Amino acid sequence: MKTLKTSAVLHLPQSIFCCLFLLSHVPLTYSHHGTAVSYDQNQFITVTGTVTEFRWRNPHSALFLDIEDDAGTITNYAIELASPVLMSRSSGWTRATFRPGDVVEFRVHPSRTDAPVGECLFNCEVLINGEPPASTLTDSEGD
Amino acid sequence: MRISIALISLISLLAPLVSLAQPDLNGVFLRGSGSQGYPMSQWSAEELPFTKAGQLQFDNNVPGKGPRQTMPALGNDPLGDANPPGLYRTLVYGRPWEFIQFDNRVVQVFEWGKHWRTIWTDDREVPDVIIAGPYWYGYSVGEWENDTLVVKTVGLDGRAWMDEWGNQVSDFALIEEHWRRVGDTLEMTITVNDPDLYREPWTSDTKIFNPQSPDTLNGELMEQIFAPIDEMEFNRRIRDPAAAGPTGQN
Repeated sequence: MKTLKTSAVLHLPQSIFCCLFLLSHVPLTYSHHGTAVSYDQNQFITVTGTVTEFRWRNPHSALFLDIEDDAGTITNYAIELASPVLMSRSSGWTRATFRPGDVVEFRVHPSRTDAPVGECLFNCEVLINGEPPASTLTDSEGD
Repeated sequence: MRISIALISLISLLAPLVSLAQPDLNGVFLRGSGSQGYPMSQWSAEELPFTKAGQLQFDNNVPGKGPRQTMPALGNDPLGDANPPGLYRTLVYGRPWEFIQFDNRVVQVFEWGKHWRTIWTDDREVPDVIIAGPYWYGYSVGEWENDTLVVKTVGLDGRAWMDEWGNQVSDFALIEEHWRRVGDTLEMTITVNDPDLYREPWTSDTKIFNPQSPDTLNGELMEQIFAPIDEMEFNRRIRDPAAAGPTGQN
């Protein structure tokens, strides 16, 4: 995974970050098992890869990406997401937000153990095929 | 005799008015304050007066949140196997729930886990024994004391944690809740009577619940069921690998 962090990780400019919503729209807690402690909440990495699966299920959602390092080795990377209930409320995402084959750049908290698993539970910054994801929220809900 | 009959008639006539005078609890609410800095429980800023058995149980519970947080894959939170959160853990958790008030009961519907509980307000006594219990959401009887709904809950299933941080009550606890409407918000405290686990009764801090209007994102309850079929997959593909590292070893 060392190469993952050095080659497959892109740092996106702030100007293209999307899905930033005020915390007032988001409930107090996000991960009912406290899984946040499994990830380094003080660090972000941006992973880039191709969607292999978008798991849109309550109470756990996840996005799986194939990412390729400099040596051409492909690793399936899992991103823990919030529940559809929370994501629909906070970001306006739907089960169609990600599709297999999409190329995404996703800013996540990395696993503390350097496992190919990351986490983003709210205020996720992501590009899908170079574009911010569509949202079902109105401007007033997103502000 | 005539006076007695007249009194009874008068009381019967006034009873609906008294009922109407009860505060309106109806609505969807969301807890509005956290527990940052609390030493051991999301319910209280004070240290809890554990008995020896209570301390042992607390020490044996390994939560994924709070001051003692551990990677969930290495803990023993009952939610990790998709067990129900139980009543008090749900109440202290930050997800919306709804009060629906009837003449003889108040029903509380929780989004988190999609559970409900009934608070009976029909003058029944708190039963000594819950024959079919214990229940993850207990058995609750409420009584109005002026503007406060005082609820006594018994018959709780002691396997449920009462918060995210690994506190519990036993099967034989009696929890007294005080619910009061203050403007648009609801205030609530609990007093825990559980000699098995606590040397003396203790009372929580006041918890504030803010109303959520129907046209807001939290104003409509959604489904948040914990299903083993989902939990097992999550644990296998996300939770456990996150703790295992690149080699798959914990």
